[in-house]
Amino acid sequence: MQGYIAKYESFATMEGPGIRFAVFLSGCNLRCVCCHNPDSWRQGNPVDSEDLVRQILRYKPYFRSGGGVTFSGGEPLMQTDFVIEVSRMLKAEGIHIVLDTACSLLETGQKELYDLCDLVIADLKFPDAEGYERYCKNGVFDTVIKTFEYLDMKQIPVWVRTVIIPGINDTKEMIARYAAIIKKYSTIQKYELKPFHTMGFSKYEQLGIENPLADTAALSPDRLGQLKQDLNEIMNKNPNQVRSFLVNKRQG
Amino acid sequence: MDSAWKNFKEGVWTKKIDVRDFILNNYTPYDGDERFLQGPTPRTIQLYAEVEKLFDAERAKGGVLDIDTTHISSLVSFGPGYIDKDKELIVGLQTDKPLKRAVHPFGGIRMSEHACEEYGYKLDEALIDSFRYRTTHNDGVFRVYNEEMKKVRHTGIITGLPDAYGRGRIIGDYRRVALYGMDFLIEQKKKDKERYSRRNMTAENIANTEDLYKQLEFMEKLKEMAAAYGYDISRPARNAREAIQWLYFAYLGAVKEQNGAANSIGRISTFLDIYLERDLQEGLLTESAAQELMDDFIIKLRMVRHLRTAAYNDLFAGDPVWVTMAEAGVTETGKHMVTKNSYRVMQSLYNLRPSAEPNITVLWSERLPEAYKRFCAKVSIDTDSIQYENDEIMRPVYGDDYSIACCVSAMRTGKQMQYFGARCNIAKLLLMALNGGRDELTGMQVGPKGKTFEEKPLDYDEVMKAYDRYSSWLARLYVNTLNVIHYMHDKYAYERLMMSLHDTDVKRIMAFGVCGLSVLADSLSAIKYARVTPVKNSEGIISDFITEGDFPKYGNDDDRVDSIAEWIVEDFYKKLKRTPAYRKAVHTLSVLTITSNVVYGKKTGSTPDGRKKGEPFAPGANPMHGRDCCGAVASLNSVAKLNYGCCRDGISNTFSVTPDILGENEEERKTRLVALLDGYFAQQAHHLNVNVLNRDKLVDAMDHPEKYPNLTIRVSGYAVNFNKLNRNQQTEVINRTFHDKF
Repeated sequence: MQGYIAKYESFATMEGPGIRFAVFLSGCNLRCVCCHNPDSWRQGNPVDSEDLVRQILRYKPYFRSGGGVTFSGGEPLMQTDFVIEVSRMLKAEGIHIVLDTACSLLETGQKELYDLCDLVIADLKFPDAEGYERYCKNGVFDTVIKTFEYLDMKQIPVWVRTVIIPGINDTKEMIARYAAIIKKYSTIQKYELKPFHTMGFSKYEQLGIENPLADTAALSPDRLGQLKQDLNEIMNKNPNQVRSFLVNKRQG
Repeated sequence: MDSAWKNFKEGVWTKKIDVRDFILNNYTPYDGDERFLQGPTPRTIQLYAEVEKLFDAERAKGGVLDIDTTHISSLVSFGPGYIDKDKELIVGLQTDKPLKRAVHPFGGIRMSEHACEEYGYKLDEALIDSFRYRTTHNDGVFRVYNEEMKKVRHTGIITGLPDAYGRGRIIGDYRRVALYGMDFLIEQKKKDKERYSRRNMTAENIANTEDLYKQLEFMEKLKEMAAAYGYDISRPARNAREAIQWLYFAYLGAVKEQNGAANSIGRISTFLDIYLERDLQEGLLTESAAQELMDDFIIKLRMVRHLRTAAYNDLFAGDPVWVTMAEAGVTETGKHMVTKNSYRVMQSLYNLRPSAEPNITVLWSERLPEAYKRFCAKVSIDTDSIQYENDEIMRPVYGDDYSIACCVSAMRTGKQMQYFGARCNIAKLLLMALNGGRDELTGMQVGPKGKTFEEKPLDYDEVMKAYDRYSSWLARLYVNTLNVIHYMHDKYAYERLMMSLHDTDVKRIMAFGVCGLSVLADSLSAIKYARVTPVKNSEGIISDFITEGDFPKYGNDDDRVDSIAEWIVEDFYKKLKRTPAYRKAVHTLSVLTITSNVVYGKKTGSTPDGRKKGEPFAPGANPMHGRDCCGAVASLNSVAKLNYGCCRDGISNTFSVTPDILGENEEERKTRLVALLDGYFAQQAHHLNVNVLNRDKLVDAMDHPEKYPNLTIRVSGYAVNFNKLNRNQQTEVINRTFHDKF
């Protein structure tokens, strides 16, 4: 089967535990305002699934101590069948599989793919349907929550991430609303706030795509630090929840 | 048994010189973690503060604190010197004052004169005069060099030849002095000399016998030198302090006698651990006192200095001595050799702050204890001061008691010595082949006359034919040039003390080197897979290339070009071996540049891979920076493919990363770094320099991207090759990445 790839990273360290080979699949069904990879929207280079597996296996010696492969994007769920096929072959070789996704699709195929994953890294871009509608795409929030429910039911480990954008979701109130969702699912091991940055801006220019946040500055490290502290406080309000959260986080 | 050997387990070593056997019979492997380590004592802190003041003064004076212009450096040409006599546990300096440098004119008197002048000193007239009546190594070499040899040297296709300074890379087995004492060693050498002198007196045997005479002469001088400090090293060391002191005296004698490019100290920490452990068991030492002895010893190693010229500093930046110390490794029977002292050596980087010297080199194996691996990773992350080499591929060749000389060169301690051979510029060699043997910068006819390629797209097979012709020519010339150099070095600047601490029947290695591997591999790939058209200047010399289309680049784990890189080193090694090496030395090859990749780049015209005239090469075996598209591990995989079997002098690779990208916290960082090392070395790779970069280095990387190839940085949810960012972005990254710490 053929898939389409935007790029590879052989030393991915932010997309799951250990040293990972990250496959950034091309194509995305969302158009989030904060996207720093607009170059992955268009169709990338075609690759055969068996060739990709062969390439990934060259990195197997580095995968000890928790590493493996991460499928990211773009949106890997846009090429679910391809990722399933590659993941099946990799599983047979004992490779640890992570899917890094915005959880924007949930049909039989996606469920099948989630079942193959050792870990899902999920975006929670906004804590409500309105946020998604305004800054990403209508109707996605529902799918995200249904995905969390599915992953929780299957007890597939999840790390959740939120990009904090100045002027959009950089308040304590917003953090509290995110935290309320995170707390509901015991399968979520880790929740990370990521700062909005401007490193992807030049890509918009190169591609001639309008950058909706062109006037927004990067989130300052100080502000991020404050929000992280706020998050910890909020999580601490329910001691039981916090204990399990921290324990899991350590395992992650 | 000698009372100095009390409680040691007997073995072959008690009857004859065999330090390895002593270690294997007596060392205590340590599987625990670093928690036993102790901080610096008040005495260490005070003493080192004085030394750091001297380092500051040295820097303020432009890199050289003081020069003695009247005495030739040797074992007893200076009286005892101290930093602060009452505070020192381990004593001995190269001259009568700390950091004062001395001249070593036996390599070449002009070199000494120049070096003095460059720092505002004048070499003593009487001293210069005395050299009118004697031949230096440099004089000897130039008596014999032919015109071609002078030309390759002049154009820089072969650079860094040790024909005017000490060749270095020879490691005496300094441990022998501690274990046996000088009298036993002298007695053994005398027997050897008697044995040799009874053989047929061929030129070879006469040379060997005269060598032994010189060795014996300096063994006596070493005793004299130690006696001046109040120590009698004729007998074996009786405790840990003496063992360190005896060993250090032997090393000190060596660096007083020789200013070799690299003065490595060998594989000593596990050896010394046996003495430290015995004293600890007997209650003679506490852990803190054991650490204090090691710290004091390491302070001394950080103070070794040689007087160099500015041109030399260009090649080997940072005033290095390469006091390389090989650590850990595994025995031939599969037991790891990590001891508590392997930890103490690294603890000095905390107790005395990070330092480039001694050059701590971990002989890595998957079989090293996990706790030690994680500690190494921690030290790398905290200090950037250590490097790694693959014990699993070196042990089958060099056994389990080898040392590392300079950066990456392995040799059996006390049993093998190396004839150091600088390196040749194979990227420039391609340009010479395309220009019919002319130097592309000066137009000088250096090699045999051939046809200059036309301004038409280059045909790969034609180019390979020309490369084959000129590489065969250069390989032969290179071996012969080194043969001249080492003949003369043995004759006029023989390492008498270092060689006395080797077996008399020493095995010799002649270590050749190449630089510009990635430039040549990518250039050949461009000629093969893209369209490369030469551009000539007004004198008809190819001075540039037009390269159209894409081509596979070394560093992306792409076999199409990686196989070219593999072939280049195998082919060149094969060609070197065709010409016999002096004194039956075995040929080896390294892919190593140290910091000379910049100088080599300066002396090389534009190349078909798109590199412009004068631009730096990548260091060692590294891919060119900015040419990888798949990240740092793909780049490691490309380098790992180079065959150590034909590069037994080492394949150097530098890996740079910010702490941030290694992980969010110390545990994650250690885990990833250990996985990286295990993964790289599992593929038979040879060497890895690990830089976990701090802010200063990132700033440096903005101006010198070639020093930090594949530097991957992390910007929140985003990883990027630092060299691919524009200056503004780099500045932003630096400001953001280090915000919390500055």
